[in-house]
Amino acid sequence: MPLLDFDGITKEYGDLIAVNDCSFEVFDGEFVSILGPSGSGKSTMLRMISGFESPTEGIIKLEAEDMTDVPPFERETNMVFQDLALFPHLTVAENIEYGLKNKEDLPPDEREAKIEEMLEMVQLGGYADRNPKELSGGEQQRVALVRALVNEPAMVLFDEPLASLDRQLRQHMQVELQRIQDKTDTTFLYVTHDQEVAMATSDRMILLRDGEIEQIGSARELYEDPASQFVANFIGDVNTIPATVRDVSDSALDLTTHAGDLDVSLSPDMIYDGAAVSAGDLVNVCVRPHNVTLATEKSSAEFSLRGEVKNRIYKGNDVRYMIDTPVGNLTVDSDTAAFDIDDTVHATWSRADGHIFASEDTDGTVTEDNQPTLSVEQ
Amino acid sequence: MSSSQLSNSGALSTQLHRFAEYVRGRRRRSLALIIGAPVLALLTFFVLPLLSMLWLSLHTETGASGEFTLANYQQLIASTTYLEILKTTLVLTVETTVIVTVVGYVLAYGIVRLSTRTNLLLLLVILPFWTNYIIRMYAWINILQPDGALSSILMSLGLLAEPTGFLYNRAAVLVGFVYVWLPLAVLPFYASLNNLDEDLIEAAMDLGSGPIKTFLTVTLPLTKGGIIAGITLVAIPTFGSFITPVLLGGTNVTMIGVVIERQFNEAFNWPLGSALGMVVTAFVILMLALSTKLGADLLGTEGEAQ
Repeated sequence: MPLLDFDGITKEYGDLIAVNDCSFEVFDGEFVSILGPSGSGKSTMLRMISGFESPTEGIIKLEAEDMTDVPPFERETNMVFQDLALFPHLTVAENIEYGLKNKEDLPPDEREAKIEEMLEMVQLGGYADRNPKELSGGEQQRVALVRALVNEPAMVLFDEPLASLDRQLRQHMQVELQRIQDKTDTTFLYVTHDQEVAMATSDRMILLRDGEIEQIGSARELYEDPASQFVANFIGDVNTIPATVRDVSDSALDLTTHAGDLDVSLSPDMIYDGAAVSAGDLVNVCVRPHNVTLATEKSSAEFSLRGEVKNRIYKGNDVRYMIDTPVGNLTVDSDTAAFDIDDTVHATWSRADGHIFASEDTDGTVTEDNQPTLSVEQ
Repeated sequence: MSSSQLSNSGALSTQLHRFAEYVRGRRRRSLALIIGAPVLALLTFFVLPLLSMLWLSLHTETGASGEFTLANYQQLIASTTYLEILKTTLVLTVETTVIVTVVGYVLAYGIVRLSTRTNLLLLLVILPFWTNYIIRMYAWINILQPDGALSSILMSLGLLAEPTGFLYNRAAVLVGFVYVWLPLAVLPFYASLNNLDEDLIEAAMDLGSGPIKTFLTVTLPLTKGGIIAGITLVAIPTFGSFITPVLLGGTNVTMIGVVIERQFNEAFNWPLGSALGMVVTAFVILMLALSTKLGADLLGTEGEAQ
């Protein structure tokens, strides 16, 4: 049974649909991220789970209990706010104690011991009597986290609390979050627009777009098997090459370009959301920079493009090449530095690494002039 | 060559130093001018009169012939009349302050909650300031007098049999005070409530506090500064007020401000009037000291124990 059942939720603000018929589940002990660009409805989802907003339609269940109309102060969730919202008139210890005081069954000395233990866990022992304002950004983050955790909620909700930190501190806090989650065995639901944070920390990610769920899966699934062009673009870098469907059969999809046919045998259900494509539709061929192989000779791989090296950037482990091809610039991450600027190379990738998505602007008719100029060597 | 350069640079640095001194001196002079003028005005128009009032309150009469005496203050303490007046003044001040604070805070809270982009509601609260204080008091006389608006309304509702006046009692004075000071108190209340971070309220609720507990543990302590400011703004002028009790209280409600006026203009007992005036000054100083102390705790950088 899921810990959280977010079932068929729609949230409307007047004419604006912030969340549109979304359903997902979160299981006990998971670290789940809700990821999406700003305005995609992720914060609204979190606010509905915490009880600060109520859904227009749908049911939210926590531990199998209907929470849809339960006020925030009676929910077994605790939130780490975006700007932390530490009480400025209370000390660190008093901030942490605030939620515990609302649980009547705990005597004061046990409360104190618990606060001390929690502060030790996040390396803030001895900070109990400080004012939150005296603490650094990272220390404040940890106080806010402990203030939520100490109540032993069914689930801790995070509203992008790391967004304000610099990169190094953010990476440190990511590791901290995972360590603390392991140690306390609490379920974390983390909202962010930062794919790096989400990928680094989460067991599963829920990717939102315009109030709808685009894909749910592990970081690896979303990266290697994106459900749509949007997912491919949002998670990591991707090369996008436009093409036109020439013919569709049960087992193969023939793509045509200005230069010639591109014969790839993909089952049509690999197209985004299974929508049938028919001859004449515009599609995009997407490939990750690190899935492209560079060679001096043409290979037998399904996809192959000839181009010239325009630029190369050393990135430590690998080299990033900018290849000028007849279809535009192709970004390639390679572990070899063997190619120089102006070298002619063959960029190739296998069928499995080439994702094909229906183009989002399919209404454009293809003419000889605006036809994608993908030059594929056969 | 090098030594001449050195001496040159030495001379230059001396010049620069002198220039800096000159600028600093000028700045100090202009600063003295900027601060000096108001300090002088304060000394002339506030500190000197206060000192002369203190002097007068400790002497038998005005001018050089006055002899030192504590009789004026002894008279204040010995006479039950004055103590009674002081008590009336203090009770009315406390009542006014409490009512204005509670009503004003609720009002400010409502305005903060209701106003989205415009501060139209706040503007409406400040609107009475556009009319002169005296005129507003006469308006209340019109409302409360026999045959006045209140009497007429109550009669037409059948709640009163004959025209009745509501003037010249404590209640009328209290109504006048509350009416006059309410907008003044709403402003600091509004400012502090408006500055309150909404996330803190949500954090309190998220951590299990219901609306009442959230208000008592977060909203109230975090708007303490505004509340203290509002209380100070109301209590000080109420304690020394003169026009409102005279116009709405008549001879039935005597506050210390009224007595002081009478000592100066009717009884011509300036020393006693000064002594009474010093009591008001003492109250003002006490209120300011109290509000500064409580306010300082709020602004204090050290975490305060709650």
